[in-house]
Amino acid sequence: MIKKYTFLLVSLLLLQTSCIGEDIVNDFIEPELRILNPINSLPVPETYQLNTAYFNNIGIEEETIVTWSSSNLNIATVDTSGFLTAISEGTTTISASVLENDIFLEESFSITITENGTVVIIEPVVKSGTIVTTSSYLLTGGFTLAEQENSDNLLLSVNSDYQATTSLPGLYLYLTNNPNSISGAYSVGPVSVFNGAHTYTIPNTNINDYTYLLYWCQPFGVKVGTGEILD
Amino acid sequence: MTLKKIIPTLIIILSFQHSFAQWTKDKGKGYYKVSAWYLESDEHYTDTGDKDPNATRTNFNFNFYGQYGLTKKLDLVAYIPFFSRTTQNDAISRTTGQVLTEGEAVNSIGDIDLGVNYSLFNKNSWALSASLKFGLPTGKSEGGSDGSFQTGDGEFNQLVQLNLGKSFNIYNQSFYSKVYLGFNNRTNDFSDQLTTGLELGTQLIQNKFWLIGRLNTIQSLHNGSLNAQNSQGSIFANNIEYVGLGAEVAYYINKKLGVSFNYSSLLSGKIIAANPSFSAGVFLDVK
Repeated sequence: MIKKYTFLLVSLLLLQTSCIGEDIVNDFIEPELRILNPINSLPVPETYQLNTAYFNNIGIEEETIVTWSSSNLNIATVDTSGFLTAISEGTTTISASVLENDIFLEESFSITITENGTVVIIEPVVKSGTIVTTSSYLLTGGFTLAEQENSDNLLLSVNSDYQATTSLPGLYLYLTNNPNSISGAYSVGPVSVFNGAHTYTIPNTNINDYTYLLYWCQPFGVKVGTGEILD
Repeated sequence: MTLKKIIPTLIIILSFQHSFAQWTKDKGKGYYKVSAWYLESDEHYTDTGDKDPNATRTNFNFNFYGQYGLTKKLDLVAYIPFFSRTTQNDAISRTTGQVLTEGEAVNSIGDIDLGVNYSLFNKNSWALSASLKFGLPTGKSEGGSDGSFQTGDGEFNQLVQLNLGKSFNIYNQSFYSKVYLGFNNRTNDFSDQLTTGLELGTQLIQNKFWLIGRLNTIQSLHNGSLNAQNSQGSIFANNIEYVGLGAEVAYYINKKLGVSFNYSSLLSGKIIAANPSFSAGVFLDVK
């Protein structure tokens, strides 16, 4: 009789535990077209290659057809590949647009074309933000993300007011375009500093490639906090 | 209720708890059980005591519990989780239906407990015993792709516990009650723990059917240095605390053979899964 009951018990519990289930993740975000390397000015008759990225409704970059335009073709022109040519002095608006899944997206910036021979000094772009907890765990502090001169690397500097819990297991830092998911995100690595200022070097990354810092608990598979990267 | 009737029930309770009864078995007598334990967890208590969500994990084990009377006063007790399985669900995008993160499963043996229970006092429905238990790190303290699929804590611990019990009747209804207080000395930079508990049980059907309620606590002494800074990947690394409430029913099919079912939930906790666990077992009581 004990064999019978043991067999029944084992069968019932194996049925319940043998398969790996599914968790549904709310990872929708609004699709976005982003001009990755806008500039403020360009002297006549120089040229400049503009680049874009299209991020779908879960923040993953996808190939798409981008349409370029200039509001004043007498000032500057831009071809179908985003190749910008300065024609004459003045200001114009450069726009990029896509039509994807019946959704029209447009991104633009203003550029001043200066006279021939003008030296344009391009300052490294610096962005900043604030890390905020999205959980019950302590996580707070400011940060800056800065381009590095003569380098394709970025420097992520977390400020001295930063604090993070030491109780949370497996805390990782990501750069992402979707604050709800690490799918398609860049893994900066495990968090090893839990208090005070520290820095990370992000290799071969454009400052406009990502829009959020994401603190993620790997074992729990959940976000712990985010920091929007703002201009 | 006589002491003799109480003993089997207490053993049933304690086989789930992995602790030891205040009443010991007689020499040559034994109690043996095979159980299955299951926990499905999609939220946990954080270090602040609040509840946070997490990817759904399941923990499951088959275990053997045995208690054997070496002498009238001394029992040998063993708890062996001979098969433990930990899984994590796939993460699926609600937007696209795609798998964002593949789930995982790790099978292993769990941590084995070995110990003895010694009767210090047994008279007039009162019983006092001392337990010494060794927690052997036979399970996996690291497993899976990120090291967090654990079936053991990776440390050797020693639990010393005092158990005080009393049987009594209220309006011809048989009851027993039990309190215990223990100190768990943990190694490998884990914090030591204080364990306390209270149980109350009654026979609903004479010699057949038992109902037991249980309140257990674990309090960390916070004297271990292990934390997230030096134990990346360990889910419930250190300083676990909780107040748990449980209920159990046990049914004797005949004089020796029975089945039992247990439900346990937490009233509060820190750094521990917040969902209830279930177990079911088949036992053999050699009186």
